[in-house]
Amino acid sequence: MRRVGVFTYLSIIIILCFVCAPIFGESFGDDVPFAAGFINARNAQPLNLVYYPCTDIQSTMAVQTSYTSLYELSELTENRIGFAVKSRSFIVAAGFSSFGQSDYCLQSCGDMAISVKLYKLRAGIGASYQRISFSETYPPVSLISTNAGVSYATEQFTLYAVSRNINQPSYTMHSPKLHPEIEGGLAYHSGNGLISQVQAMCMRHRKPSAAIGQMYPIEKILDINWLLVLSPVRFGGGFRITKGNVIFGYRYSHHPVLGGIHTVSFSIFR
Amino acid sequence: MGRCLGYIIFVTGGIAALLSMYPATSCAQSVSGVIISEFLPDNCNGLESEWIELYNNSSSSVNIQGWYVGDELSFKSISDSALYIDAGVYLILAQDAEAFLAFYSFFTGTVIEPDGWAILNNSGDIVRLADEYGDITDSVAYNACFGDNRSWERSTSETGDSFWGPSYDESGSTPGEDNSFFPKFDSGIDITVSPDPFSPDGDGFEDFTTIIYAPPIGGSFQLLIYDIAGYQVRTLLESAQSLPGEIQWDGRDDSGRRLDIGIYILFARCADERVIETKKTIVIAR
Repeated sequence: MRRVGVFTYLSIIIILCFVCAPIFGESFGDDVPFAAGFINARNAQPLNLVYYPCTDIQSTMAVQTSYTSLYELSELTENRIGFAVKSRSFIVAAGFSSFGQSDYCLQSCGDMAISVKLYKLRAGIGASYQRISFSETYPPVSLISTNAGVSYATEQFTLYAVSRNINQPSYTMHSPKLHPEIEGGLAYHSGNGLISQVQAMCMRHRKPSAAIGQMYPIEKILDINWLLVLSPVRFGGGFRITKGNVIFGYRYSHHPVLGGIHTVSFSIFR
Repeated sequence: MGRCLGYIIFVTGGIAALLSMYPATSCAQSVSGVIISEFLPDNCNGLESEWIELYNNSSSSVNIQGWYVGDELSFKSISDSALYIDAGVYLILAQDAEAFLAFYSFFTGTVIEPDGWAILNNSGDIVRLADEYGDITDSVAYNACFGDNRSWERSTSETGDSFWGPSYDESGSTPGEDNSFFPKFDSGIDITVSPDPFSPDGDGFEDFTTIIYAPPIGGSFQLLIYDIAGYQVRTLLESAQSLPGEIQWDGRDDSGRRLDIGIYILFARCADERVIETKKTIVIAR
């Protein structure tokens, strides 16, 4: 009976997201992670939480920084930093990112997210402030957007749904909008630590996309993962090395036309 | 056992996904002896004859008595009597030798008019050369013509690979002379975009950006726009002849929708026997 209630709740959120989507007009940018990366909804890292506010972390406090280089183009680099604090059933996360170059096009973004766990259900919301500045010819533009997500975890399965860029208040007359998008995923946790996951994503004006991936702990300090995104076709793979309270991560995502995306990250947790 | 099985599934899945990402490529082989070095299938503007240029790239004379030339469907005999092409010398096979010489009045080499002529299609065909036994010694397939009596020319790189492309000579062709076409595949594709950023918002100020491109001559040329998430949003040029030119982009996708503010990636590819690619960012400001 309780499960029926959970799935009803998830269905209502997804339906609401679809209902909200058509009301948005012109929009900008892509507020999605650039690289095809595997997300472990039960043991995420601070920088994951702002995109996936319903994910869980296994530490009480964590700080993470990352650097991403896209397609071997010097203008396309991203720096991010974020932290998360977990207290009882609550998680609070915040982050800052900058993408691009200040003398060309620079996208700066500040994010916050909060989630709460009720029984096996974790629900979270997040908000982002984005500012895009250009070279001198054009004035900068900025906007605020909100995200929401919910996840449900059993011993073997984790189900999550996230809706991003919903309910954007236009606080200036020409404030642009982001594309509303919805993502859902189902993960299966084997007894040996192997996690197999399928994901689906739908964004306005884009083809729906799906992804499959796995994460596998080879040793206690090392786990590896891969993810295949079907549209546009991308393959991502990476590893994480955990030593004491420190995690070093690397991820490579390959786009068949544009080339590779490299991400290195460094985390400290307690 | 379960852990081992999981590991095998993990590795197998990863490798299978990785292998699905890479397309195949090809490269032309070099030919020694008498070769097809240039041809003009779409004669116009007063030139009343198609023609094919042969070249002896070996170190000794070759007698092509009994050899054949033709298109994809048929062969015609070049000469029933002895006909020698000396080493390093060109020979022109013309549909109509008199018409050829009337148009190329400067030409001083040898022109042969075979008894029959297999008409070369303007939309694409195969030019074939066969020896006295009917064995094909050289052939070239083409899929377009250039107009204005601009011929297809062959060029051979230092590594011996052959490339075909339009004549780069001002007159449009070089019958009986060294070919002008040189595949600059190692030089890359030169692209300039201006203005960048631009603002396709319909206010009359920088609503378009102009993309000027200079790819290597020959092969096909492709110009695409991607967003940073990797979606292909606009096809500016597809299977175009690889020639220098310029094109305007109005900041819209293939459906005519105005694209969002942000950074986009201009992707250019020139493909012949080899492929070269280049990328450049473009910013839509507002």
